[in-house]
Amino acid sequence: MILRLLTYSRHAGAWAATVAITLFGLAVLTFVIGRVVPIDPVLAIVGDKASPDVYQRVFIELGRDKPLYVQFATYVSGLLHGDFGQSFVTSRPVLSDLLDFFPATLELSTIGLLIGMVLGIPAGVAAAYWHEKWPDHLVRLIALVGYSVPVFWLGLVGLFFLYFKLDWVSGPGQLDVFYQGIVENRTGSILIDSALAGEWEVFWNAMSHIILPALLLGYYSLAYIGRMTRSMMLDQLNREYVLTARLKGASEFEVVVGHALRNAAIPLVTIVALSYGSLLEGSVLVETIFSWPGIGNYLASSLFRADMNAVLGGTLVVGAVFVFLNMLSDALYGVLDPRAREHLS
Amino acid sequence: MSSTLSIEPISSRQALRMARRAEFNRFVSRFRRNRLGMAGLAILILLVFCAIFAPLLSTHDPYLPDLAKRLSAPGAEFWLGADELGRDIYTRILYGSRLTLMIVLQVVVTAAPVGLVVGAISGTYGGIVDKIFMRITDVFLAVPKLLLALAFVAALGPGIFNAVLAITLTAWPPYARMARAEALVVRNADYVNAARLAGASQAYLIVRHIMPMCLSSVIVRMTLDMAGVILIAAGLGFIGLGAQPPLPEWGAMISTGRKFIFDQWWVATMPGIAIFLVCLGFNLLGDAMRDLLDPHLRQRG
Amino acid sequence: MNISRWANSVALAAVLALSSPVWAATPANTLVVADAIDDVITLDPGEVSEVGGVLASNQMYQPLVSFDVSDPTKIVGVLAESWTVSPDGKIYTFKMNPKATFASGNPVTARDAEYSLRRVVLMKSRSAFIITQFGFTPENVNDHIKATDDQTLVVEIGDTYSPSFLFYCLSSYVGGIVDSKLVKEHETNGDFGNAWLKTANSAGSGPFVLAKWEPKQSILLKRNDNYWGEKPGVERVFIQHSAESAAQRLLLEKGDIDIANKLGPDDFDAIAGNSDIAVMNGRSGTIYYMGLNVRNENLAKPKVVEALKYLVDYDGIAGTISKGTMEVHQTLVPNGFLGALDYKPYKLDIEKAKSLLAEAGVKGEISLDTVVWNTPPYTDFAQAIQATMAQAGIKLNLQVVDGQQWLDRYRNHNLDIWLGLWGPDYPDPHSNAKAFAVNKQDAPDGSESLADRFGWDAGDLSKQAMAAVREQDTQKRKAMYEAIQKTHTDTSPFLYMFQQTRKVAINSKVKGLVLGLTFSDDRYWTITKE
Repeated sequence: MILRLLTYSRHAGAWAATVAITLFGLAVLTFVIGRVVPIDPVLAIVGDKASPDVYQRVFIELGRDKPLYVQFATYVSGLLHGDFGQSFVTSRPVLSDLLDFFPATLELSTIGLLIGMVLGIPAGVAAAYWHEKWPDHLVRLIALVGYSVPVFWLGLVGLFFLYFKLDWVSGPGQLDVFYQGIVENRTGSILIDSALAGEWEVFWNAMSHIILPALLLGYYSLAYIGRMTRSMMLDQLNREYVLTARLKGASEFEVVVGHALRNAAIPLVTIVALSYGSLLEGSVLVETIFSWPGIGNYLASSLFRADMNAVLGGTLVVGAVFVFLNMLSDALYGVLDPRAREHLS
Repeated sequence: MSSTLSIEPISSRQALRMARRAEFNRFVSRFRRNRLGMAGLAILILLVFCAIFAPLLSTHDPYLPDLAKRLSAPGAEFWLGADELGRDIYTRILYGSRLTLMIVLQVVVTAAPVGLVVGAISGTYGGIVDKIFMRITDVFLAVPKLLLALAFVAALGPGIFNAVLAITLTAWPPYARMARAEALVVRNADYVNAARLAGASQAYLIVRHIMPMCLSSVIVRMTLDMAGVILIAAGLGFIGLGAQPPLPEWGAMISTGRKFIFDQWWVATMPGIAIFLVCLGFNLLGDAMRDLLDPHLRQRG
Repeated sequence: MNISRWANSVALAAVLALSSPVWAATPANTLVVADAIDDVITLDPGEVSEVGGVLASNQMYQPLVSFDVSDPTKIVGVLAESWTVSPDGKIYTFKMNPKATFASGNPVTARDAEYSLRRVVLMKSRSAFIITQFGFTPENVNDHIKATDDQTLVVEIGDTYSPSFLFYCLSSYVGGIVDSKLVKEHETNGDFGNAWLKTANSAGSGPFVLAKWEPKQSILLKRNDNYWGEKPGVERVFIQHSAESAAQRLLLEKGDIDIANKLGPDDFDAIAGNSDIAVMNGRSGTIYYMGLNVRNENLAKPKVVEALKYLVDYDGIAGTISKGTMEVHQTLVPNGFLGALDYKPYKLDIEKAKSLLAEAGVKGEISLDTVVWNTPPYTDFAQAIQATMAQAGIKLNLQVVDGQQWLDRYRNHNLDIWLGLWGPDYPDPHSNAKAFAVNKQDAPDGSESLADRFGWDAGDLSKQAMAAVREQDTQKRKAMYEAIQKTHTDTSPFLYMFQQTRKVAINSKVKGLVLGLTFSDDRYWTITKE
């Protein structure tokens, strides 16, 4: 495997260049968007009642008096040093804001992904095994609904039934107010922090808050993962080796899980990586509905306040994660798939 | 089959047309056996029907408030309830179907052709043109669609037209990728080489030979994309950056209903069901078309 | 923790969360307030401005003078014990209260007051306009605001004004006095301690001190153990960000919060029968109005402006959408302020409006770009107005915008109608008179007012408004504002519609809440919880 990786690393240079160019393009794109936004960031800070004197002071503080290309150069050279600039809303470096808000998103989408995998893969396998029978129809139906229903609407309906009517889960936010500030922030994930601190009451409270938005995201990744698993398993189950295994007297479980699923696992890994990326996207709307203090919420509120450094930084980071996940799924595919390996060598 | 037995000489052009018609008829008869596809088609026909005949089907004025009756529950007067200004939700959903159709059509007539042209040029010319175009495509693909649309709308200003524009700006890259892949395959095909030797210009090749080859995949992809387009448009409306009041855009209707979700659930629920149905229709139709037209295009996303 | 155990605990959590409802109540020593605070960008009292920031600042910092909440015309001393005004009305001498101390233990002296007021001007703070209108500039402020000894502060203003005008301005948020010894220790690059005070520290004499601010999420205040006044009834005040009315209501119903500051009309309806929740009514100076830009060729015609005033269903909106959170109000000075007037000449009259439009020579439809702030209840009543105006052929193109987007267009004068609110910065009629009636050339600081923004030459009214603020005799001053208002309502391109009636929903365990004149002025130190 290591040897394979090494042969693959020849392409790493080309990759790095691709990633760099893509990220640079992203920086240009976000910068341009940021400058044509019809919101004047200076006004957003000083308000409309301030005198021209005050306006001028902030105008210069933000570097808006310099030509655009200088502003861009300053921005990019800052980026290269890991400096995303300051958010004027939080008066802190954007990078430390992002580090604060990102874990909440990561926590939410990771649990969402786990739900999607734990339910989606078995569902996909069952659908393929009982092709054209009811499990298959059921999985296709679930996936179809998942592709057709607006996530923000489903979230509202979920809140109405599970929180308001039945009181099975907690409402918006990460924790009840009562539990806030008990656990020291170490990893950024309340679940992990409270478990480490042994504060189980806080842990369960956090669980009851995260479960609904995570199920929501989980449903969307379930729709995707289930559907992809199904089509990959269908492909595998029609291969000759399956027949051979059956003739050799292997049990059905062995055939399906031991052989077919194992072979389908390679492309599945890439599917999971991709669906992680789309969860990040889904989290923008989900976080708005559930007042989740994650990156989606941070971006949306920064956008409305013309906090452009924050918007640019956030978009760049999400974009970078996206690029990374895409590259990762390509790479995994290349490393794991025998045919792709042959093709390369 | 009688045409092949016909003694009368027919021009090759005529033959081509006949072959195409036969192919189309075959497609139709196969499609009619696909029940889910037919169901999807039925939903979409219903959508178009509602959009055209909204004034006849509606029971109220979609814009005129009746403050005394605000937030009325579904019943005899308001079939699906009344909204925060006492307007009939059923009527507004009917009129909203026009907006949904408009969004879909505008994205179809802009994003797909743009993607197609970029991809076809990129694939045909190759070299530096290809590199530059594909890098640009990558950049657009590198940001989640909704986020990018959000940023564009923020820059352009809220409004339904700008929302459509923003969605188009985010929707073209997959078409470009697809068209490029097709173009790479086709550009060295014998008949294209023959045409090239006969002195056909690049532009002619692209328009006449390469673009038509991409069409069936593009149509399938477009149908499948429509649900996504509607969902993003609704998402923008929900955040408040899409259609502006008093337009009965479904996402914006859900957004106002959000304030009343716990007491007057129907305000947000009804337009949500409408979005769901239409997206379901596009997805069912798209699935069926993909199965029939393009068996290779298994993956989506 | 490996993946499978992780997955197990998730599944377990799902089961647990689904089987046991979660109950919580706020602890007795903590007051939990829900408000929209994600826009707060600073907690430095010299530059706070957002509602949530001012609210927090008011719990931590105290001004020289303030007003009696139950009778805003009565000025009371806080950090100043007494004061005198020179006969020409230009020199104010404040004697400090010798008992007052800061949270640090330092006594509050005139030097602190001098430092605090000067720094607002010298920092060119965005809130400086409240006090620079008295003629202070970074160049002259060291001469005009001066402590002559530890107990005496002398303030010299550039012109003669009604004394209450200065007192009200000093009582507002920029007038909060900081501990100069402490702040000077933390000055960097001549920033007057701004960086230090902005996010993580407080240096006031008020009943609470800052414990932790998590931007966009929460502000936690702790009791000031050195407080020189009566000890506050709760140990901590936790201001939790929650933007939506429905969410706040649920939190309140479930006992998760004690005070909900952002409840909308419909949610007040929903909690009406709940005995665990009490609703308090407070005063508010906030006025909802439409500004008509007279640079538009149609709006330049006075008859068209008058017609529009007949095209709003005032009573209908106040009676239905507002559900008691707004009342009809059609003049520039809010009820409860000096000179307030009960003058409501307009009601919905489509025929009258049509004939006025005909007289103005308007043919066909008029289309007007209208910018509306995306906050309830604006969008609702904007659409109601849109519908009644449409009946007379006035088409409003509503553009619902979030937060800051409108500011630019508004400053650049390229919108036809702005539908919004005006909240006075201090409870003096001049705050509104200046905004709605004083043109740039008459304003002492030369600043652009709302009248200028909408292209309106207020003519004589502008000079009358400046004369009113200079009038020393309160009764005469009152009469002047009354006269200004009638003419203003009749002739200005401002369409006053409603005044907010402030309602705050609280858990009935909370006792002793004192509501101020705005949402940012409520006093939490008098609260106890049962």
